[in-house]
Amino acid sequence: MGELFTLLITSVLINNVVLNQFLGICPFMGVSKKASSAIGMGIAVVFVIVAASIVTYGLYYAVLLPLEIAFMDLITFILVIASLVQLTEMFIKKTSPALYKSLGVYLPLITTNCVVLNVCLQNIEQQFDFVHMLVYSIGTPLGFALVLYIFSTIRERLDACDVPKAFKDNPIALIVAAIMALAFGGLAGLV
Amino acid sequence: MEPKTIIVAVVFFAILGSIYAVTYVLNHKTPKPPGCEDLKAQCKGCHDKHCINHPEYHR
Amino acid sequence: MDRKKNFTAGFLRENPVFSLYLGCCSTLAITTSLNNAIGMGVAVIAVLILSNVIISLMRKITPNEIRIPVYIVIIASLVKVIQMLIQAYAQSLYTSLGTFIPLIVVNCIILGRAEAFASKNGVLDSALDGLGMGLGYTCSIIVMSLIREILATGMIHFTNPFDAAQVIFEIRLIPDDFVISVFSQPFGAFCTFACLAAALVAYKDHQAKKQERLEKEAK
Repeated sequence: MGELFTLLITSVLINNVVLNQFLGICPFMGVSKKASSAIGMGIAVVFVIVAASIVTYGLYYAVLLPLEIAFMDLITFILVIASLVQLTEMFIKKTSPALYKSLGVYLPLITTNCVVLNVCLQNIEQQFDFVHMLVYSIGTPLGFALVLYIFSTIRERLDACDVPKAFKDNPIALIVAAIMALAFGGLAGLV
Repeated sequence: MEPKTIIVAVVFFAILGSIYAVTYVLNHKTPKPPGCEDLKAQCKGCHDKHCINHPEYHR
Repeated sequence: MDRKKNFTAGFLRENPVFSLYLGCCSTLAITTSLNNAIGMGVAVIAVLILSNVIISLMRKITPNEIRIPVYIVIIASLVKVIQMLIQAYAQSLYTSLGTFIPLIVVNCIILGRAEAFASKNGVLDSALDGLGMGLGYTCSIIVMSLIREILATGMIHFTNPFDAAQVIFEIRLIPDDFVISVFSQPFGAFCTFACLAAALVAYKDHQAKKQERLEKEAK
């Protein structure tokens, strides 16, 4: 139980997917200008990653390894992630228009999101068992959503500041990310 | 690599590909809920005007 | 003339890394050393050229509705082949690049160029565009990794990717006591990226002002 908790804290805070592993930077800079869109993207990512990890984990160990076609893992994972995104979008369109309004637009962006593919690949590479895999694939997108939300609140205020002309828009946002990375690095002492 | 592995791989790929094609077509056939036809992702930070999700994309 | 303009667009005018902010994930993670940067750059150039050529060859027969899935599958297969080649022939590169080789599949540059250029132009133009963008990407990450490596370790270190024990050159530029090791960590990565992006914005601004001045004088 303690080991699972450590894994959760590590994947959310210490080995944070955006600030330490440098993944998901594209939506991090693109989607994070308003807090509401950041929350929408975060929730959509959590859902897609958990569903995709379970399906790809099952497919890898139940189908790819016994049939000796483990080299098909990359194509399999991509196709599974893409199909899941399509299914999720269709499901949300039919059941909840309000939900679609807030986060439906971000779903196609998640197909090419580095975080999803990396979580699926890491589940295999670090040879997790089922429970560890669940904890890892819940923790990682939670860390992503957390950092995205914090960043969007800072960025909303950054627009009103007096920034040097060359640094306007994205470069100053990256400097803010650098300071956040430094701050999150201090959390390594938690475990 | 033995022919059996190649055949298994191709069949598996065909199954996955057709599942993806089916879900893609089904998704495009379901209409968007009323009021959501013209939503655009608020992603102006990325300057890639060729991305389909960018607000300034026109083909 | 048009072809040359397309080819050189990837270097400064439409630099994929610092101007369009594509492929940032791999840029920030890979650029800790010159070896990694060159290895990743070559892999991306190979995938870009091959995927552009294949997609351009198939552009007339892919139905418009399912073109994105088709592109993704083509790119995924190419990346898997390149990954297996790197694993077989350049073992040290494989261990240092780690999960960033499979992540070339979702590197926005490749899908972006396929969507923007290869699906509308001929084979030779697409190949040249792939080469131009790939070279622009490679030069950008080499510049960034040189800065980070020199400031963080004080020396430039390049080994043969096919045989890790053979050192090709190793130059020490800053004495060991004066290195700023934070540049090999996330903080340094983000800072270097931000400064280089700002430098490119300033350069483009300067060029635009010069152009304006020339036009005013011509009137």
